[in-house]
Amino acid sequence: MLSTNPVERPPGCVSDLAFDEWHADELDAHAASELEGHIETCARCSDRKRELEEGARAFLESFPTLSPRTEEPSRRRGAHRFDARVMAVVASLTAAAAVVLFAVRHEDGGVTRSKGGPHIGFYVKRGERVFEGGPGEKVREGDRLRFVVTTTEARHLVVLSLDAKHVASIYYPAMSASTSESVGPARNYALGSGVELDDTLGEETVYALFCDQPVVVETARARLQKERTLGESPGCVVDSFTIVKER
Amino acid sequence: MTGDANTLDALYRRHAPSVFRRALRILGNPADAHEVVQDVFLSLFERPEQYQAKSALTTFLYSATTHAALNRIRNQKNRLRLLSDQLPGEPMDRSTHTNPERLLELQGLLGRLPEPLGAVAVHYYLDELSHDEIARILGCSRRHVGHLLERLTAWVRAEEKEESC
Repeated sequence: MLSTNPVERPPGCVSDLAFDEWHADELDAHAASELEGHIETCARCSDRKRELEEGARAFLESFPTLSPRTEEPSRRRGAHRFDARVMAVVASLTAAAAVVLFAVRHEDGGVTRSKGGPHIGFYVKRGERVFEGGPGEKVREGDRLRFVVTTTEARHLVVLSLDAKHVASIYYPAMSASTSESVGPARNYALGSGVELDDTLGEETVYALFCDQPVVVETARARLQKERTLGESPGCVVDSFTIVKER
Repeated sequence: MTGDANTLDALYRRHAPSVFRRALRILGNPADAHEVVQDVFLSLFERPEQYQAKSALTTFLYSATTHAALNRIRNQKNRLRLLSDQLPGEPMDRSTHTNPERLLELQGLLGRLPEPLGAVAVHYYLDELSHDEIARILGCSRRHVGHLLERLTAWVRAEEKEESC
């Protein structure tokens, strides 16, 4: 039977978990420094580090990316399934983003609002006071905006902003989300906890993308950053408003 | 964590080797270990909200890999194939760092162990992690890990006793 004390790693030596966290840059500076110092003086851990690195190199030589590879005779059906499924996911997300971001151009660089279509509004909280905002609303640093959306059918939603310094930011979904959030059908549905305005003064435009398919948030943000505008595209509706940040 | 292809690819390149290495250590079979890599990363990419950044990504993946590998072992069909694929004395991939007899013995136990004892057994016997490290992965206290290990030991002894009768 199994020993009840199976740990063969000498006290003070580095676990594989610690090696993995170190490799992933997840250790704080002190822990990383301790680990590196130990490896320099410990043959066992130095050997283990080399083994792990060689193993990682060998794995990535066999399966270097998530992209489809030329099928090898020895590869199992499951591995092919992996590539196909991963690419299906990535492709569907990036295609949806591409549809949103590449097909859209307005001659005037502006945006449109569909009558009766999904739309975004907002409320401003300034100190203890809360009021509904509108296009061209004058707001201040430290004001909190809470967005509300109305849509008659379920949509994938991303809310972005472009400030006066042409910096694009993600307002919705939360930072940890990689793809758009599904919302609705709903009327004046409040999104998350809102955003606090920074000290960048001038005009800021907030864009809400309502799409039939999921959208890769970061791709949308990067495109807004580059193109400085978003417009409508097949499968998506864009609504927007501008606020003016003053002191 | 963002979802564009470059980021996903970078995540994969940084973390997939350790997912594979651990799955291989648990399952002892490269093909099955690669299937676990598929399951873990597809699950992460399809439902990124499951990783809420409450812990580091590495510990999250340790937990996800353990669950995916244990599920494969618990699947009776997989378990029988794993056992028949790895007869004692057959050369093992050296990266498993586990001798075949011990792995077979452990896999037999892992297939029967209830959660969360299965995960604790993997982290303790195969990963050779400390109580603190196991606590971080499981998201519980060090003391609770001690209790789980006591339960695990009692369970193993009961099995041993049953086998000797």
